[in-house]
Amino acid sequence: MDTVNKPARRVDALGKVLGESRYGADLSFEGMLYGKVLRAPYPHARILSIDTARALALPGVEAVLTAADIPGFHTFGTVIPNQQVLAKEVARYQGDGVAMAAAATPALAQQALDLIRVQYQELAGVFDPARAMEEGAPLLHADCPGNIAAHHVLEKGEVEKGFACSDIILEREYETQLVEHAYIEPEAAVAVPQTGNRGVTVYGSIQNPFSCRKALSRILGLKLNEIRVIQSFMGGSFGGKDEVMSALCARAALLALKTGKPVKMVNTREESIREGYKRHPYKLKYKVGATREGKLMAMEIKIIADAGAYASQTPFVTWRSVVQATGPYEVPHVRTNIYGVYTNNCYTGAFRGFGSPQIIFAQESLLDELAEELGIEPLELRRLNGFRQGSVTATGQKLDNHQVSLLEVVDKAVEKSAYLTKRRQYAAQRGRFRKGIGLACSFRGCSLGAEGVDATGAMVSVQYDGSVYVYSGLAENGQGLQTIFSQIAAEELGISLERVRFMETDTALIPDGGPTVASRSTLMGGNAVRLAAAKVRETLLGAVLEKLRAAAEELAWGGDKIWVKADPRRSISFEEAVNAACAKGELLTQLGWYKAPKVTWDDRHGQGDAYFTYVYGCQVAEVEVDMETGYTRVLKITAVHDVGRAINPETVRGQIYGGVAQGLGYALLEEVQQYEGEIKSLNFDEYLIPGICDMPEIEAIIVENPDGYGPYGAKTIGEPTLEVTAPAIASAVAQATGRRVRQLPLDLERVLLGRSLQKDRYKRREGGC
Amino acid sequence: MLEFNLYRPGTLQEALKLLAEFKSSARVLAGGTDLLISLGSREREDVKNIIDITSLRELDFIREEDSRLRLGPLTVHAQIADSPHIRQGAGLLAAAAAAIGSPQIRNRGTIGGNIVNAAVCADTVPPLLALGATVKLERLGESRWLPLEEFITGPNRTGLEADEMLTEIAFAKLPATAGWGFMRLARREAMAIARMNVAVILDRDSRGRVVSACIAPGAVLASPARIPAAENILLGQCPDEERIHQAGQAVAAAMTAAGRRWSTPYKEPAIIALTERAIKQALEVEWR
Ligand SMILES: Cc1cc2nc3c(=O)[nH]c(=O)nc-3n(C[C@H](O)[C@H](O)[C@H](O)COP(=O)(O)OP(=O)(O)OC[C@H]3O[C@@H](n4cnc5c(N)ncnc54)[C@H](O)[C@@H]3O)c2cc1C
Repeated sequence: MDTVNKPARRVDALGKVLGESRYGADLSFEGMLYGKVLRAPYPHARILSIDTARALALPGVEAVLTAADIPGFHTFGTVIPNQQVLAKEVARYQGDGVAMAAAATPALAQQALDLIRVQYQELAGVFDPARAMEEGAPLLHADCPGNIAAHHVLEKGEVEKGFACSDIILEREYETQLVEHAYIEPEAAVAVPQTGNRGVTVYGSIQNPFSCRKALSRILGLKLNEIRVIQSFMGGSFGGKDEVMSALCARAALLALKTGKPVKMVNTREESIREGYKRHPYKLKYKVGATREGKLMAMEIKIIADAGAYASQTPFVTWRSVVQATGPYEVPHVRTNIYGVYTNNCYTGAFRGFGSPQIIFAQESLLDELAEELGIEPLELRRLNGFRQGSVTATGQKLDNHQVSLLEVVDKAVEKSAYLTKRRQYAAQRGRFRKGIGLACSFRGCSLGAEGVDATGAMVSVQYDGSVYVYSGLAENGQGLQTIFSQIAAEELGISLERVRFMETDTALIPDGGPTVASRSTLMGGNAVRLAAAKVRETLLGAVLEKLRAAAEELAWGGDKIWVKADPRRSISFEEAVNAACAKGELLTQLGWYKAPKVTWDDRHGQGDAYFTYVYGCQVAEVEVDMETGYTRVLKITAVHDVGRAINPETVRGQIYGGVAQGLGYALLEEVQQYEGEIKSLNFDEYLIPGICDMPEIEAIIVENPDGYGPYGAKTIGEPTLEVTAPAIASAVAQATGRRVRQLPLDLERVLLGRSLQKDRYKRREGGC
Repeated sequence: MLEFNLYRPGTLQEALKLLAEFKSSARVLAGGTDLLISLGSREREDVKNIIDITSLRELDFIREEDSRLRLGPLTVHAQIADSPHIRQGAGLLAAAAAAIGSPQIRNRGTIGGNIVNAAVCADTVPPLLALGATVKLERLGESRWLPLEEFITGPNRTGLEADEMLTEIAFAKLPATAGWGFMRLARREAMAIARMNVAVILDRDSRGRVVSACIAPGAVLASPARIPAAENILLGQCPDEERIHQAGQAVAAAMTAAGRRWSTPYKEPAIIALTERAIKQALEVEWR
């Protein structure tokens, strides 16, 4: 291979480094107005009246809109469309928009908001999901008794029998926190009314242009072909620029269509944190039974996830959790129940990991705790129970269509980190500063699985001068998709990467290929690009064969030319091949469409072949804990991930470094402070993410077991890198301190005292440090 | 959005004149790393005039005279951290300045701003307190000197009058026999305000007995102060592990006596440890 499996430079790097790439907030159009949103002051309130007259009277204000002005539905959503663009009768969380204004300047728009008079009737709120499930709790959505947004069950074997056959039974409760994506670029969008046509074009920091278009169609009451969504460069997303961007784009579009002028809307950081969805906090109850030797017999799991005010991706997030909740381990008897529950908290949705970081923290901690009870090294417990070729998962899926490399990645991580030596070395320490080492591993289903339709497209278009466009329905989110897709197109056509230009994702130019989520782009979109390029190559081949008078098998493609293997002097350049094909009137533009292999799911029992392939990863963390202050430093992370095939080893490593950084934040620092529905940490002075000085050495090790389905054998890397970091760190901290913390994050207070104090802070209404 | 008039006086006299005219509707802008943030919030709508003093080079100096160090308020943290005069004569202040924020903040934020902003967690304040610093306050045609602990009266509160400016900070250099310690605890390595900090200066006689002690913690009391109860435990002693621990406990006791807050269950053990470490650092014994 010439281009694939090589560390190609990112195709979008130069523009970004030179500051030339245009992000959502950089866009500007003639006569553009600025929009601002007024948000609810209460987490739960009935809107009695809205008086916009004074705001409208302000010179320079061109429109003031409320839910009453929305031509289509005022709600949208991928699974359950109950999220409000603007709150109609009831505001369900403090991020809900109530009214909005467009004016000549942002300051005027803000001033207009100050002049809107809203009368509210405050309603009783519910902020604890367990309480929200109880009878008599305030209901968020009339059609959802018990505030249940999602409930998934999984039944395998007979769990009671499994516990009866166990020598040891352990019950533990774990808890994870509300987490903010913290992308560097807050949400931004510009909506431009189409001239000469009905409809609107929207540009912005949009993770999923097609999801956005679908929401807009519903809200604006326009046909899909009347809405064009064009993605700008993205300053990060991590799953976070889906629904919140659909809402922003819809608002901008409503204002634009009302005024007939382009309208730009950009959230401040505070607005972004207040309104944008977050990663679900989970409360997890695990009960595990095992034999004396450590063989897992049964697990019973009950999980409650805080969905916040709207459904968003909760049904899917919790579904991934139910599939993977027992981890990469053979457990004959399993019962899992997971509930996603509405509350008047900030809503929660997609975030890198998507239901896996929470359960992996719990299940990996649990395995450590079980090992300790049994007097077995945690590593041994994993070796004893870990998936092997042909293992059967909790959903009854036999893992036999791909290389099950769990133990391979574990062994490699153990070896590279000197885990066992250090584990012994750190076993008996006394000083003020103590070290610890811990490991965590996971398996992860690739792409959407049985969530729903899984297919995507890409277009490869060769121009008559031999330059190439690649278009894709999946979108660059900063992860390196453009580079990977360009590499695949170049490889398939035997040309250099420089010939390929990747076009921004534009819903008018390419079919809807689903969202850029679930670490599916390389696997799904990569296949689509490969198919498209292969079709073009097939067309070129016809022309080449005539020129070189050879059979297809005799030819080699690469380095911008095609030659006869036996006689390399008989060759033609790529341009010549393109010219010859064009001269014959051939079509050198092709669409590739890739449909995922079949998966199955039985909702009643939670059984089926949930995903068509899986990846495996293991990370080892080494930490040093200040025993007198609880301050924890991560010294090193050894991260081993099987990616099937690294299309670009450098971008794979980039994913690993980034995932570890986010995982480290999840482990030690990050927690959105929300008290009775009000978010207190609205900016990065209070919401701390790791900085460069907090980052340890990261040894990133790529394992390649090519997959039968993926392009060149490539699978997935985006999310697995983040999901195992926190449990590895927690395990290392437990070794260092001799005490396990069962709640994330392991901040100063939890490590020193075993509990957080933040709730007290807000209960007592005390500020400061 | 806030609108205000921006003035850039060329001399201190001009700046003081502007202050005399505008009084409480004016704010002095030094590095702006505190002021600009508070201006962004809506509480500051009373501020109509900003007096940018960054070009007043006469307020930017580090001078050593006799055995005293004199600092202009516009001296930025990076200068303090790097100054040979300060590293040699007031090492704890250099250490505190080096720990602030990030390179950007240290290149921009001034010691004057740190003092006048008077955050409980301000990192230069405990070292300055331990050094016995005094501050010079000037208004048009008049000036006065105040000890730092009298100047800062509470969280974000000082004795600065509306028409006054802070124009100098002065203190005696540490004698060669003195040792110092500065410890700071934050939630991450950089760009994180201190949860607590503590500055210690100990001078010992030839037999190792402590003849003078200053212990000044930050983010422990509502307004910064030395803790005599802790200092007294060390005075006249060759401090051993036990005494050092008691001194730490005395700081914690002073904190809890002032009231228990949400953070007290954590801060109580942690400040004991930090104080012990700062004392050990001052005594030049291993503290890890
Ligand atoms: C990201 C970040 C990190 C930070 N980290 C730290 C940290 O680790 N430790 C820490 O202690 N602080 C920290 N700070 C706070 C701040 O940087 C410091 O307090 C800094 O010293 C303030 O100085 P300045 O020159 O920027 O003050 P300014 O913001 O210009 O002024 C602050 C206040 O002092 C007044 N003022 C300034 N100079 C004078 C004068 N000569 N006379 C009268 N009044 C005056 C102003 O009117 C204003 O009220 C941080 C700030 C940020 C934004």
